[in-house]
Amino acid sequence: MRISLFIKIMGIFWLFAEGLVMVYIRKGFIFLRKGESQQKAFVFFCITFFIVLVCLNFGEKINFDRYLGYKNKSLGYFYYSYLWNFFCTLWVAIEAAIVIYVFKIYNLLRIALEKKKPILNITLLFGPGIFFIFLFLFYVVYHSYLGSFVDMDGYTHRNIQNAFNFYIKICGMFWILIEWVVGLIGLKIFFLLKKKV
Amino acid sequence: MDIVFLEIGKSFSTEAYILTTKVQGILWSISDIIIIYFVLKIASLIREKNRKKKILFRYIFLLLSALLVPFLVFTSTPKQFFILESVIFGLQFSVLIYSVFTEIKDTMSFFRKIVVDNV
Repeated sequence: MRISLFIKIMGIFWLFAEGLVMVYIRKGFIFLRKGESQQKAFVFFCITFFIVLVCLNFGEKINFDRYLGYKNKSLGYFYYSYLWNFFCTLWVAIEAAIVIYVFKIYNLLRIALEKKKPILNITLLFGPGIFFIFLFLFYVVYHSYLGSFVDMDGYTHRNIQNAFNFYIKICGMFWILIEWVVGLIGLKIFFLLKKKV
Repeated sequence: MDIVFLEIGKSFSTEAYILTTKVQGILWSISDIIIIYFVLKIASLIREKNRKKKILFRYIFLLLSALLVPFLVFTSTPKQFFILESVIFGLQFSVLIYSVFTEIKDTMSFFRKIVVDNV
C-alpha cells in the first residue's frame, strides 16, 4: 500500500474515531441531564459532514485538486496540506468538545455527590463558542495568508510547505493541552466515584 | 508578518519537524494512555457494582500501546514516525471505541442514578 494512501486512510479513521467518541459522550451527557437522549439532527449533520470530508480526502481521484488549481494556484499545489491542516483543526475542535462534555458530566456528579455549587460560570458558558470561532478563523487567516506566497519572490515551495507543517505543530500544542485536561478530569471523576460510591 | 512566515518557512526544516513531532507525539501518547486508563478504571468500578466480568484484554491492549511509545524516540523519518504512531493510536482507539460502545449505557445509567438520587 502506498504511504500516501495509508496516511489518508488513517487521517479519516482518526476523525471517525474521535467523532464517534464525541457523539457518544454528548449522548451520555444529554441522557444524564434529561433522562433521554435525542440527537438525530446532530448525528445527521456529523455523518453528512464526514461524507464530505471523505470525498475531499480522495479528491485527486476525481481531479478535484486540479480543478481547484485552476481557480487558485496554491489550492492546486498544496491541496492535501490544506486538507490535512483542516483535519488537524477539526481534531482540536472535536477534542475540545469532548473535554467540555466530560467536564459537564464531572460537574453534575460533583454537585450530586459533594453537594457543591455548579462550576459553570460565564467563561465556561461562552468560552467554548469563542474558542471554536477563534480556531476556525485562525485556520482561514493562516492559510489564506500562506496561499498568497505562491510565486512570490523569496518563497520556495519548500518554505511554504514548512509553514504548513508548522501549523500542525500549533495544533499539536492544543491536542496535548486538551488531552492532559481530559486525563485530569478522568482522574477526578474516578476518585470522586471511588470515595463517594 | 511576511517576515515571520518567511522565517518559519526557512527555519522549520524537516529535521525540526521530526524533532518537535517526536516530543509532541510522546506527550500526547502518554496523555492518551492516562485518559484510557481512567476510562477503564471507571468502567471497572461500575462493572464491579453490576457484578460483571473484570476487564482484562483492554488493559493488555493499553499496556501494549504504552510499551510501544518509547520507540517513537528512535524513529528517524516522518514515515517511520507515522506508521508507529498509527499502530499506537490504533490500539488505543480500539480500546476506546470498544469501551464507548459497550460501557456507555451502564455508565450513564449509573451516573444518572447518582444525579437523580442525590438532588
